[in-house]
This record gives sequence, C-alpha cells and structure tokens, in this order.
Amino acid sequence: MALSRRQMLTGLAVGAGAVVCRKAALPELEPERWFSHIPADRQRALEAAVERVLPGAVAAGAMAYITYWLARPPYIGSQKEFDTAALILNREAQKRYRKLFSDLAGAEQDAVLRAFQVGEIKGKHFDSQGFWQRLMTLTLESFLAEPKYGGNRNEVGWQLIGWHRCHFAPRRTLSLSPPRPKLPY
Amino acid sequence: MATEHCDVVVIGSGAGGAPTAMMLAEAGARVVVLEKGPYYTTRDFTHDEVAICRRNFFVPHADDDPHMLRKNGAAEAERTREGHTSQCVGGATVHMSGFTYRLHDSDFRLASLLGGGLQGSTVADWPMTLAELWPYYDLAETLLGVSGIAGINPFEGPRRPFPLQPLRPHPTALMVDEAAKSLGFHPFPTPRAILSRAYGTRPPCNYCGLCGEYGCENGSKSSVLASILPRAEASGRCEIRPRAFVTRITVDEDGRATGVEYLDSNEELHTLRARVVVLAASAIESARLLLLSANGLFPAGLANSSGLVGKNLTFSNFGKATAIFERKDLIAKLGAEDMELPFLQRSVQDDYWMTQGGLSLPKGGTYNFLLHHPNPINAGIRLAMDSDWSLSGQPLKDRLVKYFRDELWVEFEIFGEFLPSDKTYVELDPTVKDRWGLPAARINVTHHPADVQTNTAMVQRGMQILAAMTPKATSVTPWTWGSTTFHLQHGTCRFGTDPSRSVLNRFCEAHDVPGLFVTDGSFMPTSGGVPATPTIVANSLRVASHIRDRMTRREL
Repeated sequence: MALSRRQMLTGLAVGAGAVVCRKAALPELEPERWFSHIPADRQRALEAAVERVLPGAVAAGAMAYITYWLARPPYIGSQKEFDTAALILNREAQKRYRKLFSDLAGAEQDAVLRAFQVGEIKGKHFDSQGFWQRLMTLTLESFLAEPKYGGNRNEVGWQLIGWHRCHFAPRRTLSLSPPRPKLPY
Repeated sequence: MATEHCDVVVIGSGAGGAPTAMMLAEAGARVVVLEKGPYYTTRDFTHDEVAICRRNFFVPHADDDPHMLRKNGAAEAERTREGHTSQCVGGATVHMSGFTYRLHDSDFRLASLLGGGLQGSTVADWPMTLAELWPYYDLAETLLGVSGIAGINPFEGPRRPFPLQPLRPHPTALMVDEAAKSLGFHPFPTPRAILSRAYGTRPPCNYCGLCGEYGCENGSKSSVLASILPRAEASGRCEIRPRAFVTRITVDEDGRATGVEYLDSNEELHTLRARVVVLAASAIESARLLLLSANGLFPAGLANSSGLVGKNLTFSNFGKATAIFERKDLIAKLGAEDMELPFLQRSVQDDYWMTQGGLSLPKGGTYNFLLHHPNPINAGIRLAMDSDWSLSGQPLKDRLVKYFRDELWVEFEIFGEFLPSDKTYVELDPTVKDRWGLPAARINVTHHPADVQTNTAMVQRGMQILAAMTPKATSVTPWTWGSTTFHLQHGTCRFGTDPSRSVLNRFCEAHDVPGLFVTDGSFMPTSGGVPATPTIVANSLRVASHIRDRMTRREL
C-alpha cells in the first residue's frame, strides 16, 4: 500500500496489515536488544539502509527510535515488514553483488534501495514501495524528533537545521514595541 | 446502570458545544458536557511534533476508531483517521490555526445566486440571513478573543472593531501587499483567534509559530478550551465529563429527546436524562450518532424522516501554491528585523464571487497567505515526497539544511466553496466497527466538477500574486484528493424550513425530535468560502439564546 501525500504529511501512515493493540504492555527496550530478534547480518542491513536514507541518523540513535515505534501504534504492524525487508536487502545484495548489504559500497546500496523506492522488488505480502516510504518517514522522524524517543541524540538533528523546539524565537515584549513604519498594519 | 438528571446535556465540547454550554449555564441551567476525548491542560501542549502532530494526541489511530473512506465512488473503502476533527475537551479549536473570517452574504443564498441551483449539486439557500448572525459574530469574537483590524477588507460589510489589534506580521507581508495591489487585489490583515495583547487573564502570543496542529501552551490561542469553557465552568453549573462516549440519544414514545446513554472511561454505561439535548460532535460523528440512535419510532435513524441525516456532506475546497525566497535576498530588501516572526497575516477575498472566466460556479473563496508550517519532520517528508521519494542520503540532508537555514517559503491556501451533492455523504459502514463495537462512519467523497474548475481558476489567480513577488521559484501543490480539508466539515444535518428537505429547523432543532438541537457544522447547507469555526461558534450562541428564551418560558 503506497501512501497518499496527505497521509504521509500528517503522519497517518499505518503499517501494512496493522493489528489492533491498545493496551498491550510494551517493555522498554535495552540498547543491545534493538532488532535482536533477527540475525546480526540482517540488523546490520537495516542499519546500513537507514544510514543511506539520512547520513548520521544511525549515530543519532535512529535504530533505537525505530525499534521504539515499531512496538507501538500505529507502526506496530510494520515490525514484520521491517524484518522481511532486512532479509530482502541481503537477498538482493547477494543476487546483484554476491555480498551482504552492509558490505556493499554506498552507490551499490543506493542501487538496491532505488529498486525498493520504485517498487521493483516484489514479494508475497511485501510492498517494497510502502516499506521505503515508512523507512524514510521513521528515519526522518528519528533525526528530527524530541530526543526522548531515542533518536536525535544530543539534538544533533535540530542543531543541524537550527531548530530549538520552536523555529521562531518566542518573544515576550513584542506587542509593546512600536509598529514598523513600512507596514501600516 | 445509574440514571442522572440535568437540564441540558451537550455532546461534544468544541466550537459547537462549548458556546451553548456556557450561555445556558450562565442563564441558570444545569449543564453536563460529555466529551469523548481527554481533558488536556496547557501543560500537555508540548512542541513534540511526533506525539502531538503525528500520533493519536488529537485524533485516534485508525485501528481503534476508524473512519472508512470511499473516493470517487470507489467500491472499496479504505480505513483512515481522516474525518475525525479532534477528540479532546475544546475539540478542534485546540489545534486550529485560528483564521477567523466571517461568512459573506453570498454564502447564505448560493442556490438563488446560481439561478435556482446547479446541475448535479444539492446546493440550497440558508433559512436565515447574514444580518441575523452578525451580532453573534460580534459576541463570538469578544468571548474568544480575536485580533484583526476592521475597515481594510472592502468585501466585508461595516463591522465593529476587533477586540484586539492585529498580530505583528512578518516583513514579507509588505511584498504580498505590493504584489496583490499591483494586480488590483485588496489584501487585508488576517483576523486570528490569537491574542495580540493580554486579554482577561490570558497572556499575549509569544510568536512561537506552532499554532496549527498544536495546542497552545501559552493559552494565547483562542480555543474554546482557553476562552469559553473556563467561563462555562466558572458559572458553577457546567460540568465537563471527559472520556465519555455517547452511544445513543434517547427519546420518549412521543419522539421527544429525553437524554443520552454514554460509556465512561471504564466502559461503564450511564444514562443521563435532560430536558434539552445538544449534539455537537462534528458533522460526521453527529450524523453517525443520529444513525446509531435508530429505534422503533425512528427506524432509519433519529431525526431522519427526511432521509437527509449524513447527506450533503461538504468540506472546504482547498488549494495551495508556494513561492520560495532566499532569506538573504529578503533581508537585503526588507531588513533583518522581524525576519524570525511566524505569521504572514495577509488575506485576499476579491475572488469570493468570481465574475470573470465564465465559471459554472462563480463562487470562489478566500486566499490566505502564510509562511510554511515550521514543523521539521513534516518539512523533511514533504521534501522527500516532492521528489517522489527519490531524494535521500546526503542530498536530502543538504536540502533540509538549505530549507531551514537559507530559504523562506511563502504560500497561499484557498478556502473555497465545496459543492454539496448526492455523491458526498456519510453513512454507517456495513461491516467495520469501532473499538466499542459500534459501526464506523463511512465517508463517501466525490468532488463536483464545477468546484474543481473554480478551485483551479483560483489557484492560477493566486499564483499571479506569488509571481509578482518575484520569488526564486514557485510551485503548485496540485489539486489532489489529499487536499480535501477533512477537518472542516459541514452539511450532514442541514437546516431549512421544509421538514421533507432538511433535518433541522432554523433554530437548529430537529424537525422530528423536539428538544434535540445540533450546533456543530452539520447545520450548514453550504460550506462557505471561509473556515467555518467562527460561524459555528456564532451560530451556537444564536441557538443557545433561542434555547435559553424557550427554557425561560418553560417551553422546553
């Protein structure tokens, strides 16, 4: 399911095959347990893909962020999708370059990811375009969100763009200052 | 199952419910307001973009409480959260941007102005005039706290001054003024439900710029949560019950409204009996509740002898275009002062009625000029989407930096007439249920070709203004399905004089069910060319004064 523009812009994206999970108690994840339910080579494949989406995102804690949200609505149904995607990343890398995805050069990784973006990769119950959009969305979120979710460590994402929880500098005294002569109102 | 009694029960605490609750409580009635969502305070309103704008802070997840959406007569409906306005005390006024325009005279008699109607549209005149609503607009603006300046917009009739002076605009407002005037348009400062000065106990805006999609942590945005509900509670006779989900409106054997049944946060069922039931749960959810309240007397849904409950759903017809400037060029031209202010604060209503171009729908609407919303994640995703998701890696990172540090995006949004038709309506979904086990609302949307044509013409006209500002680049967000403003919704219980062709009478009481009033956007037969929030507040006050007078005379 590719997502409409409005869905993506307002964060309405719901994972493929999302299931209802309202009151499930969700354990806080230890750092070493990020994606620990899949083999290490696949963990590294996902990590490498996130880094290709946005360089510096992994160092800023993107994997912690993504792990956190894949365990919570509305992304809870996407956990399986990301597991599958990790498998496919390595499969495609093997097919094209006879290497693991994480061992590919940057341009080779991009070529594989491009195939996801345009929906070239087909799989049963796997929508590569939808996955790419969710991967980009979660990576961008991780880099620019409140650090409390595990990403944007030390606010590096915000420092890069000059955001301080608030783009415009709040002012207290503004309404008392005289209007500028150029603008009558 | 305990039964309680009160004078007035209000379902929903937003723009439609809160003013009625306040006015009736101040007049001496014991009022209970039932709100489906939580009771947030200013402390809950953080700048956490993920939590507030991208998860379920205001709107539930589609797995919990879905809407089903069918576009263009498609057979399959998709599960969505679109169409929920907001679920919290104060409703969608909490996260609105607060553009506070009044309706124009042409909004009240569109069918007549179109020569009796328009093929394929169910457009109808309103059973009241702008003059009747006018004093209630004054009252609404005073209660809310609206800033603006009277007498600049030549397309608005004589009006009294705004309670507050306009907000301080971004310097590019000067460029919009010059560009628009050079093309013969009449720009004016956008009236906003935001405090430019201290107002009562509330502080002035601190210009943080996070208004739309956020709650205001400062209490300076004039949501009904910040302005009207505190007054209602101060009366000592208005109780707001959050997390109370009304499942049914009850009637007696004569078909008179007797109260409601609702589930509290523990999913316990309560019965509340009242002399007057006021429904204001948003146009989509109010229609759904009436349909869910079907009984032996009203098998097709409560108050639905006309068959029009849920029909004639309208949204606002939305269009948008962007002009991209380099900050350094702007600073060279306008100076660095105030370049960090968030509000552009200019609007144009010259095309409210478009005589040129031979349009089959000459009814346009409002251009609202503004700076692009500052949300960083939203910006990143928009940049990625504008490239069809191909922009990634270092180029994406560089683009983000450039966007935030070097560029300034000036945009206009259009609030235009969305024509009502048989093809846009809400009904109960035959299979999908919400988490309480009740049928979800299924929303059917098909734009009338005439409003698409008018919208396109307006976007082109607005683009001329942007082009006259000589930006580095301009781009149009094309008219798409995604641009239907689902949170501005009206029409599902249109008011009128003929009970066979309307659901409510001119005082928004159901023709079929005495004692049942609907005060959200449902009553509006046509959408109008402005966001409806101030109109809903004003009409809610108008209806409340009618209820008050009749209660005083013991007629209710």
